[in-house]
Amino acid sequence: MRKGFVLNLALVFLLTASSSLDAASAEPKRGGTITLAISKELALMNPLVNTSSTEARIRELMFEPLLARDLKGVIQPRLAESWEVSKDGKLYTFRLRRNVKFHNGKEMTADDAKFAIDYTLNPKNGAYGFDDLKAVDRAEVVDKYTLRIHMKSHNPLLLTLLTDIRSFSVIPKESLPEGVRKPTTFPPGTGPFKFVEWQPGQRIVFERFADYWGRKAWVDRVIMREIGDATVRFTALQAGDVDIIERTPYEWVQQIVEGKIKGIGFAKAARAGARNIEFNVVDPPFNNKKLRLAIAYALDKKEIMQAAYFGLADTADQRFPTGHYWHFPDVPAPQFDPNKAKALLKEAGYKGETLELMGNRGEVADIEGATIQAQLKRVGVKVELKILERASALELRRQGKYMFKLAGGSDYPDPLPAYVEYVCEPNPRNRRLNESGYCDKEYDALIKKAEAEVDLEKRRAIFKQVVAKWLDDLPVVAIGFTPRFFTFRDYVKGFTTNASGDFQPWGGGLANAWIDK
Amino acid sequence: MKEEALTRVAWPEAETAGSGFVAACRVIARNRLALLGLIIVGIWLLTALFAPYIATHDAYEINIANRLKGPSAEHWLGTDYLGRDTFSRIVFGARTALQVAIGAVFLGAFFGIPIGAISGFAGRWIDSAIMRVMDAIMAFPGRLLAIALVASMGGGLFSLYIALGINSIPSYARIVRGVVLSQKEKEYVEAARMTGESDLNILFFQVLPNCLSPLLVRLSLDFAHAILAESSLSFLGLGLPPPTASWGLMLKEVTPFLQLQPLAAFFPGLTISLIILGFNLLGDGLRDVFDPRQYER
Amino acid sequence: MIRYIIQRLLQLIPVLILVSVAVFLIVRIIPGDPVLVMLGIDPEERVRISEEQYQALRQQLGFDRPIYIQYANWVSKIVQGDLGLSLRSRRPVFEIIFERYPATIYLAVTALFTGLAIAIPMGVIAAIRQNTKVDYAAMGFALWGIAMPNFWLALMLIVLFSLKLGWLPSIGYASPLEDPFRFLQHALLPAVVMGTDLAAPLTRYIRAEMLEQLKQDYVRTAWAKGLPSRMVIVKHALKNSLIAAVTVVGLQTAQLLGGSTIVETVFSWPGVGRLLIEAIYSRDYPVVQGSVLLIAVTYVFINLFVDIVYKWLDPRIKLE
Repeated sequence: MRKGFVLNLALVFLLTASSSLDAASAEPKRGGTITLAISKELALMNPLVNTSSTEARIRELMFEPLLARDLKGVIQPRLAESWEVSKDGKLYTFRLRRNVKFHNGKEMTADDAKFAIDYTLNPKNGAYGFDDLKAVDRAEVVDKYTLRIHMKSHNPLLLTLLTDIRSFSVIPKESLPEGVRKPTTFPPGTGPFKFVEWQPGQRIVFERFADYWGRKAWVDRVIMREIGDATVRFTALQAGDVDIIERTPYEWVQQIVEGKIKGIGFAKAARAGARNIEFNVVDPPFNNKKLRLAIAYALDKKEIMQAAYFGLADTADQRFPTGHYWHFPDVPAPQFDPNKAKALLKEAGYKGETLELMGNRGEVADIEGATIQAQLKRVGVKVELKILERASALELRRQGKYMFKLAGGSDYPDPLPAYVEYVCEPNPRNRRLNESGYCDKEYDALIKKAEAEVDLEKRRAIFKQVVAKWLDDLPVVAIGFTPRFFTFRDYVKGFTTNASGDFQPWGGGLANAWIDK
Repeated sequence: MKEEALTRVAWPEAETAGSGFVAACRVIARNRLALLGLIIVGIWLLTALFAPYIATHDAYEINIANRLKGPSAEHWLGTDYLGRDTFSRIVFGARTALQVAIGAVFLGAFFGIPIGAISGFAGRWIDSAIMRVMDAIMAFPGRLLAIALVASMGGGLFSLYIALGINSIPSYARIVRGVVLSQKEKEYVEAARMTGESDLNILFFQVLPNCLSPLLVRLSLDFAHAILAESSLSFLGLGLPPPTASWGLMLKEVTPFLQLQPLAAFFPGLTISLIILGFNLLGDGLRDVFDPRQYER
Repeated sequence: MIRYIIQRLLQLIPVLILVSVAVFLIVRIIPGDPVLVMLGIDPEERVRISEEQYQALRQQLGFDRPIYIQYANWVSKIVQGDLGLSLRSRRPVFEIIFERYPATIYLAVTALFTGLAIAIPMGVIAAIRQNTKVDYAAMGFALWGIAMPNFWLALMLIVLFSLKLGWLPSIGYASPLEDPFRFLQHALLPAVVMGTDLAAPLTRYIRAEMLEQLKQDYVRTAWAKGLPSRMVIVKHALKNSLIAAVTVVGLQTAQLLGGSTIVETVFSWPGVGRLLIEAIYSRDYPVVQGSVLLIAVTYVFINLFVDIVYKWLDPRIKLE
C-alpha cells in the first residue's frame, strides 16, 4: 500500500506541476530544503554513544531501531517485520525486513543487528544502551534475516526499549572500532536521510535517502544549525534565516497562541519533560517527612508553571498526567494550602534555618527557583538558591550532598521506569538513578511484584499501591509536565512531532514535512 | 582590562603626594568632571547603605500577573520577568556591587602590594620568579578561574572575591614594584640603611608611602573594574546566584524578553554605566592631582 | 636586540609551564567527572551509566593513573605537537581549536580596524580642536565607551538594529573567505561592540599624545605658518603618537585574540572564547587545556612582539 501511495503522489506532483492550482497546497510537494535550528550542537559521530537528547534526536534522521512506537504508544514493525517471544520471556526471535539498504548501498542483515547489540553490550564502548540491554545475554544470528536475542532474565519492557533509538540502532557490521576512539564520520544508517557533512559550530547537512525502504522524505535536504540561545533561535525564525526551530521560548508560543504573531505555526510535544522537587531524604533536614510535606503544601504549582512556562504547561501530582491509564485519580496528593504548610512546619520543628535549593543552570531553573523561593518565603521558610552547572550538580546529586533540588524527568513509556527510580541504592553516597536516596523495603517489594506481573489490570493495581506509597513518603514532589514547541514558517507543511519532541518520530517528523512556496 | 593599558605608562616621582589631601580635594573641587564623579560615587554609596529605606518594594517578591511591565507610577522603572520591581532591585543591586567591589579590591591590594614590594626590594631571582608568576596570571584566561570557582563553590560573594581579586593582583604588584625600584637607590634609603634600620622598616615606612598616589588612582579604577567584571560574570551566569539583586544578573534575566520589553534591559545597564563613569571621572581627577602631566584637560 | 629577544623568549618558558600546570590542576579540582559527563545526557535526565562501563572508560582514558603521570603524558605529547583527543567528540583537540580559531581572529581583526577607525580620527581632531565642542564630544564618547558594559551595548545594538529596524542579523557567522558580504553583515555589530571597547581608551590616549606632540616648540612655530605646514605637522605628530599607542593597541589585540566570551556568547559567534566555556561545562579536559594554552601563548607572544616593535620604532626606550 505504501508503494502505491508514493506512486500516486508522484503522479499528482506531475499533474499539479502542469495545471491544477487548488490541489497544490493540499498535496505534498517534493524538493526543497528545510533548515532546522537546534538548541545544542552535535558532539559525536557515534550513533551508539549518546551525550545529549538533542544528539539522539538528530540521529533519528539517519538511524533506526528494530521496532517503532506509533503516536498511541503501540509497538509497530520497523526494521524487524515480526517477532516472537518465548513463554518464559527469555528468547526473542526477530524476522528482519528484506531489501533494507544502508546509505552505502549494502543490504541490512541479521549480522549487522547483532554487531550493534554486541557493540552496545561491551562496557569499553560506553554505549548508552548498555543499561537498557542489561538483561540481554547475547544475540544470535539464525540466518540472514533472523535474529535471536537470548535474555538472562525476563524484561517486560524489552520490546518498548527496542523502539528507542538510544538503546541501539542498526549499523553495518564492523563499522565502529572498539573502545573510546570514535569514528570521524557517521557510519551508514538505514534512515530516511543520509549524512552529508558537519561543519562544527555552523551546520549539519543531510540529504534525502532515495533508497529508503519506507516512505521517502519529501524534501531534498535538511540543514541543521545550532543556535544555543532560545530567543535568538526565535528571532532567526522570524527573520527567515531558518524554517523551523525546536524549543521555542514559551513567551513567544504564548504570543502565537494569542494570535499576536502571524505566519508562524507550531507543533507541540506535550510531555517533553517534567519538573519535580526532589528531597535528599537521607540527611537532615529533609529526612524529616513532615518538613517534606510542609514544602509540598506550600507550593503553588500553578504559579510556578505560569511563571516559567507562561501557562502552557500542566501541573502534575504523579508521573503521568490526569486521564492517562497510569494516572490514579483516587490516590490523593498534597494540594496548595499555606496554612497547613505553616502548621506542618511547626510540627516538623522548623526554626527558620536556611534551606538550600539546588538547580541546574539552564533555561528555566532560575525562574522556577526564584518563584519557589518567593512562595516558601510566604510561609516563613528561608530558601537559598544554588544554581550549578550540570557537571558540578551531577556530582553533588550522586553523592547526596544537597538538601532539595529542582529535578527534571522525561516522558515515560511505562510506569516501571517512572517509579523504579526510587528503589534502594546499594550505596547512598554513590547514587545512580535514585538521587533522593529514598529506601523502603515495602516499596522495593511492590516494584519487584510489578516487574514480574504480566496481566495489565493486576499490574495497574500494584502500581496504584506503588504510587500511594510514593506520595505518602514523598521523596519527590511532582510539579508539572513541560511541553516543548517546534515553531515553523507557515510554508512548512506536514511536520509533526510526538509527546517527547522527536525530530523524526515514526510516521512524522522531518521526513513527513514539505515545503510549500 | 581596559585600564590595564593606561597603567603601563610610567608613574612620576611621587613628591606631589606630599602636598596632601587638602590639595587633592581642592583640585577635585575645581575639576567639575571629577566632582561629578565624586557625586555619582557618593550617591551610589548612600544608596547601598540605605537600600531598605530607598527601595519602594520588596526586591524579591514576585508577582507573575504583573511581569515585564513598563514604567508606571507604581513601578517607576517597570517590572522584570517575575514581576519584581526594577527600581527596588537596582537599589539593592547597589549594595551587591559594593560588597563585591570592596572584597575584590581589598583582596587584590592585600596580596598585590606586598608581593610587588618584596619583588622590587629583594630583586634578583626572587624578583624574576615573582614577575613570571604575575605574567602567568596575566596570560591565564580569567574566565576559566571564575568558572572553576563558581563550579566548585556554587557561586556567591566569596568565589567572586577570589576570581576578581586574583586577576587584579598583578596590576598592584607592578605599580608597587615600579615605585620601589625607583626609590630603592635613592639617598634617603641609603641613609636609613647606614643607620642600621631593618629592610622591612625601610620598606614600610620609607618606601611604600611613595606608592600612595598611584595606588589611589589604581584603587579608584579598580573599583570600576570590579563592578564591571562582576556584572559581566553575572551576565554570563557565572556570578552571584539568582535571585540576588545584581545588575549583571538582572540584565541576564531579562535578555530573553528583550523584544517584549526592551526597557527592562535598559535601566540596569544604564546604572552600571553611570557608576563606572563616576569612578573613572574620579580616577581621572585623582590622576590630575597627582600627576598633572599625564592628561591634558 | 637579538640578545633581548632571546632573553625574553627564555622568560616565556616558566610562564607557560606555570600556565600549563595551573590549567591542568584547575580543571581537575573543579567538581564534575568527565567520564560521567561524557556519557551523560541532558540536565533533565539522569545518568544511566553502570559502574562496569564507568571503570572501563576511566581506565581507557587514563584517569586511573596518578595525576603527575597524567600531566607528564600530556606535556610529552604537546612537545610532539599533539594536544590529545577531545573527550566528548573524540576528535583531535588541535582540529577542534583550529576550526574555531579563525572566527575569533577574523572578528578580532575586524574589531581592531573598527576601533582604529574610530579612535585615530577622533583622537586627532579632539587634540587639534582642544577645548571645543568637538573635543568634548570625543571625550564624552571615550568616557561613555569605557563606562558602558560591552554586553549591554551589544544588547542595545541588537534591539535597535536587529529587532526594531531589522537591518542586521542578530547572530550567526559566515567565513569571510567564503562569503565576505555575509561575514560583514554578521561581524558588524560584534565588531562595533569590541571596537568601542578598544576605541574608547585609545581615543583618550591618542589625544593626550597628540597634545604632547603639538606642544613642542618646533610644532608651535610651524603651526603659526598656516595650513599647508599644519597638515605636515599633524602628520608628523600623529606618527609619533601612534608609535606611543603601539603598546596600548598591542595589549588590546592580545586580549581580543583570546576570544571575548561575552561578545561571542551574545552574538553566537563560533570562536575560541565560547569553545573554552563549552569545554569547561562538559569537563572536556583536553580541550580546556589546549585552548587555555593557546590563549596564553597568543597573549605572551603578542606582548613580546609589541615590545620588540615598540623598541624598534622608538630606540629611546631603554630595555628592562
